[in-house]
Amino acid sequence: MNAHDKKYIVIWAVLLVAMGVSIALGEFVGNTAVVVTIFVIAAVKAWLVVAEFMHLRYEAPWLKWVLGGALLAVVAFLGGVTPDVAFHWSVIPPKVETPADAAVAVVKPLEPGDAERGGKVYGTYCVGCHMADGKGNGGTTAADFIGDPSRLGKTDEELLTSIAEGKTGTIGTMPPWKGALSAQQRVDVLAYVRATFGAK
Amino acid sequence: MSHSATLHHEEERTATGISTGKVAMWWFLASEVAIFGGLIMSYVVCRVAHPEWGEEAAHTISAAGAFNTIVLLTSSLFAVLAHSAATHGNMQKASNLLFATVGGGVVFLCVKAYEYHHEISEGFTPVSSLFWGFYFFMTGLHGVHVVAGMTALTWAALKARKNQAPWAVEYTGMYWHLVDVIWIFLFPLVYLAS
Repeated sequence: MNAHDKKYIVIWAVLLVAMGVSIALGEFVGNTAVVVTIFVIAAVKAWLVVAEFMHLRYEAPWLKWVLGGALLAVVAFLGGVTPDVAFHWSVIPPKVETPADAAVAVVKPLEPGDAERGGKVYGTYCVGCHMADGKGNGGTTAADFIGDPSRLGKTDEELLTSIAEGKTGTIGTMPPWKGALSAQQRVDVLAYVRATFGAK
Repeated sequence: MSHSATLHHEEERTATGISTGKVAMWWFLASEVAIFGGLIMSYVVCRVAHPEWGEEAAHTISAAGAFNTIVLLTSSLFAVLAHSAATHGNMQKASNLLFATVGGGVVFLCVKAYEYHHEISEGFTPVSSLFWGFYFFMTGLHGVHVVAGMTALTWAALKARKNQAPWAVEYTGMYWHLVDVIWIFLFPLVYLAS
């Protein structure tokens, strides 16, 4: 076996060890520093493959810039979309309920659902699957509020639980929204759904 | 002109000091980086904005993803050893190693098919939610690249068996390494960050 082949096998072993470290760290993904570390490890692994297996380390500098240019385009794309997404989320900021919020809720009871405010919530969070017409693409991406009257035939309490906790049914899984939406927003969006798609 | 002389002539074709085929491969791979980079960055931005996707990502089978990472890393090793063998004029060994690389692709696709079957039977389809849409599109597009890579590698391996197209061993290997690199990022994105 020649020296090059030995080096390739050592690099392969390093890549496997790096993968093992990532998986071990994966147990602690709640921590931002850990998530960043996992992606730094991924970048190092990718660089090892590109530099050594694809020999880019040993090529002329201008050839490296062919790949570098594509990476710069990706970074520019990220820089371009991030402000848009940040703006979108600042219009109705994701709300995480803290103990302090719960205390406020006790002091200040929820207002009755406001369909107008609920419409904004629907247009941001629900429309992607339930669609603007409330039919969920004919009940394929989410519950069809119009075509299946049993959907809105449930009590407010049942529907608010589904919105807060999510639900897995025949169509698929609706994620839980209690992290992204406040209790008031959930009551509002239910008012909007009932007013817009409910039996008239 | 003998056959090997033709090969030699093809290998040396260049306008830049680097063989034209290799420059073309890098341009092509750079375009792949832009395609997957845009897709991955879109996912990252959405993922950061939707912390609740973590609960959905928890339904992916991490052990299968980890196993497939080992499969792809090992098949990449075979591909680079094939290139090394071709460089030393051992085209039969290069051919065998390329077939071993293709074998890695077969194992990868079988595991991926099992995962898709498991996820879809649990009710997670490409239209279940934005997370599952991203999941199936990113891994599906990657899977298409695995199939394309296996096709090119098989062709190069058959040529190498006849002592032909030594350049194809390197270029198809480069493509396979890129497929590996993309998976290196997809693995933590859809399996670990839950």
